[in-house]
Amino acid sequence: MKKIKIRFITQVVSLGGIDFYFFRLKSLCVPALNCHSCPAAVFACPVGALVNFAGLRIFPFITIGILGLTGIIAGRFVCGWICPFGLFQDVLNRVPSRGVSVRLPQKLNYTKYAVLAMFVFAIPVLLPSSNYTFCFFCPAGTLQSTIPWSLMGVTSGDNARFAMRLSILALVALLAIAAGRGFCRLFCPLGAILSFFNRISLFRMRFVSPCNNCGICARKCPVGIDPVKQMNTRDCIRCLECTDPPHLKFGVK
Amino acid sequence: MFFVLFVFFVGFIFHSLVNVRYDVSGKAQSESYVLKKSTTHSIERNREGSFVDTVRPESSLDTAEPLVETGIVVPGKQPAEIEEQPCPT
Repeated sequence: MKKIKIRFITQVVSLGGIDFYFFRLKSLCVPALNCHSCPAAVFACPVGALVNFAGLRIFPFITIGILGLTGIIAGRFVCGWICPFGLFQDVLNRVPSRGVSVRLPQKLNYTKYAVLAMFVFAIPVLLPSSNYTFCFFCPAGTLQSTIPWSLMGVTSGDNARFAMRLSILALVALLAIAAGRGFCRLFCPLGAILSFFNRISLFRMRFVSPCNNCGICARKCPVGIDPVKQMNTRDCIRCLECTDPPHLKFGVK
Repeated sequence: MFFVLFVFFVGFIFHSLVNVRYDVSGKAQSESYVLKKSTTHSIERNREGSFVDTVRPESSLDTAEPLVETGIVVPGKQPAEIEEQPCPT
């Protein structure tokens, strides 16, 4: 079976486990961007947990521990194989876009660190009563919580906020169609945290045979990096699509 | 490096499970409890620095005074119908 099919199946199974509906374990967070307000959510969202704990001004030992363990074992592997919002973007990226394809400048990749610093830590700590934290804008929250709850008749009652959230989700969806994992590259604070572990994780990308400069791996990369030149950089989501040409392998280094 | 960080993060979780307790409405509660409560925004920090469970447990819901029909909240009395609501974000 092709690797991309295995990854898709893994993502779908993970989505089923994270949003199982019949089971609740919200005293624990799963290291993937998912909204804990989703009607079917089993676990807490790590970004939501960090935002809430920053607002309460307490250190999130469990959340940091879980994210740290995930990162130190496999870096951003969860972004490529487990994250439900990653699955959403991957599915949209399969939509025929009639040649509309955008290559985002590499310098924009630093935006996610600004998002992490500002909307996950600074604003909740400095302005605990402020609504303008990451959760306020989170497109995963819109997809998994705002839309399902509004269909069930539960809303925040703020139409402008609802419209803004839908607009952000629509923009992220367009970005996914045109540029693959654009949200993961540019805005995801969870990806920003896990990215620090990419170079030091136990499982890493490595060469198993000499590169013949075919360029296939760079064309397949959903985050727009060249795996040969930028192997194990912070933006690699470890989707392993670049391992189809048998030069690269993911394993213990 | 891997083993150092591995032990470090396992230590975080272990420390939280064994040592970390927060004063929530006069009871010592674990970080997991605070995490669970925070998912529905039903915990707040009060002026003294401890935490307040803004949703009353079921046992006290049964004995709570009924709401005043005019909607005026009587100081010291909480509405009996408060339930943990999802955050529609």
